[in-house]
Amino acid sequence: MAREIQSGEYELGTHRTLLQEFWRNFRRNKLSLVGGVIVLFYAFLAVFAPLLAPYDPIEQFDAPRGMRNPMPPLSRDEDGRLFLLGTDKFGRDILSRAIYGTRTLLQVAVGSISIAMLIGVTMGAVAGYRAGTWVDELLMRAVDIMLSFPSLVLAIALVGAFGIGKIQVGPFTVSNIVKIMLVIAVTYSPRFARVMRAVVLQEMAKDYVAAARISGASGARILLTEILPNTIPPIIVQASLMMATTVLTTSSLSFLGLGLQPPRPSLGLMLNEARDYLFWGAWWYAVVPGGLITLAILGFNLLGDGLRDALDPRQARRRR
Amino acid sequence: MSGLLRVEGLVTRFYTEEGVVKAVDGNSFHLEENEALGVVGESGSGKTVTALSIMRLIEAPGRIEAGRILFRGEDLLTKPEREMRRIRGRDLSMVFQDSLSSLNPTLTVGAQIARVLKHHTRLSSRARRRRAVELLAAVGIPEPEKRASHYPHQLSGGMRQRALIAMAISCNPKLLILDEPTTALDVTIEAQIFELIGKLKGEFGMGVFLITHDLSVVASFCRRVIIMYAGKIVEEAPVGDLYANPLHPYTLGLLRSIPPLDGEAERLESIPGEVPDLINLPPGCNFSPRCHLADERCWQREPELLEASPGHRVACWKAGKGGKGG
Repeated sequence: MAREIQSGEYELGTHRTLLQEFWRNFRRNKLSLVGGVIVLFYAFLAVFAPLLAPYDPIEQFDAPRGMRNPMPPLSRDEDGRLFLLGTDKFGRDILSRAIYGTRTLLQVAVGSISIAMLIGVTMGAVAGYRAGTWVDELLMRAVDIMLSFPSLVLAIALVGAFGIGKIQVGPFTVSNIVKIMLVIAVTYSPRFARVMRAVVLQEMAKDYVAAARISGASGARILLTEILPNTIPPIIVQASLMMATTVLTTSSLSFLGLGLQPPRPSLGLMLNEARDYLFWGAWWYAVVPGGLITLAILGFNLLGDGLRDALDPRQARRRR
Repeated sequence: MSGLLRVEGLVTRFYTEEGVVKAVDGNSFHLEENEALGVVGESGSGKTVTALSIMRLIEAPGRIEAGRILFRGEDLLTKPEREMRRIRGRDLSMVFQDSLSSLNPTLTVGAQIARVLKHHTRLSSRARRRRAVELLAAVGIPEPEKRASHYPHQLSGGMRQRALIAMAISCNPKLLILDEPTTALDVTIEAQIFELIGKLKGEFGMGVFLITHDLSVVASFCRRVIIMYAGKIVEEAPVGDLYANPLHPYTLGLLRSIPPLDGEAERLESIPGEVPDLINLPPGCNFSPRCHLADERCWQREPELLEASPGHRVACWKAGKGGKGG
């Protein structure tokens, strides 16, 4: 019945494209707009890091006489350079390091989610389309095994297996950052596989798939051109929510010394260094990277929730 | 005359965990060009499975076990899947009941019609687009250029059903299967849709295989009608003959459950009992547990579908003995 009323609304209303429809739903939720703004802010920081950072993130400055690094916010050195958010234990500008650290963090997060999506969506699509066969069984049991490990433990184990720093695979050198992306991607791809398989199964039961078969389309064509476009919304939602998790995992790995290596600025590493100075009173050292990580996670979560509500209004209504 | 479609001894079964579902059990019928054949029965009587068997779209755990489906003299059941893909949508086409879920929500209506044309013709993409608009116009959609770029949810139910028909007839099929095409629509739209299908049938000379549970629709649209019950054809007759002289007690029951037009407010009769479990069918006639005429023979032996008068076949030991007035 709900569907009837809905289609009535559409008939009477003007003709909106799917994108307009989405935006109308998305805008309605103020919190998701906040999430969107936060994410845009991070994207801005990441893209324009070289223009925004006042200093080179690895340049070390000496504290003026009578002071020691780390210096508190708004300190100046003897040449009068202002350190808006203070300096770290080596006299490096925390603001600059935080901006560059954000950039690296997003690089890793976006990179690993993209790879995870690619792997997971492919696995899920094949498993869903061949549901009930040995292919499905094989893929899904592999996914089960991977999901049975806590993700951070799995990531740590993988880093442990490959070693810290760059690795050599045959003739190719894989840089440390790409290696971390791959590790996180492998860790999180099963979640995409699960979602994708469920969505493909759900879509395959719909009449339009049968209609496509009746019009003479082959299986592969149906999967790629009919079903795939319908799986995009839930995958986008999943990706956005997973971004938050990935930000946390990346930072955790760095915090543990298994992720990005110094002197590359990284929020997780900064947090680790800051531990030793917390009792010394250098609150800014920990608050800046910690706050940035927290805000990023909050932003991606709000955005993800908002996207889910906007892309699947029926589910949103059910939840309220 | 070989006819457009000749189905012989079709058996389709589903192998489920609970047991073997005898969805279609040894049915034979035929359909001529430019003829509309109605198939009537309750839900689960095997109408849709028959249609999907003709399209050869029965999926696991289902299987077509026996029979021949001669389409223009060629047996579809022996054709390789590649060839079937060329036949589906071009020569054989089908329209479903629920137009909203039958259309892909992420594609515009025009694009979906164009896609069918892409499978089966060598038209350029512009020509396909133009043809899609023509087809939408042909099925009576106003402002077809504008509607072609609309998504399914932006169209009303009647318009969507028209768009589906446009898609189904895009390659001038020889046989169009309609699976309860108007169930989700109101009566005025229903009448318009059937008028449209009748017109298209005349224009293209296509055979129409109409699945419905509405005998009044059959009466106005079809020349012949098949009554199915629990996977079997129980009666087949020219429409007029069936109404004037129903032979199977089940047909009689169906006819009695329709309110008469000359409006005397009588209590409508219903058929007692329910459709048997297709896994555990009764040993004799499938209808015997619900039949008020049934006796020993009906419970033990299955009646065959035999010709009672020319063109009128019935599968009942008591054929015609039910009496018209009751």
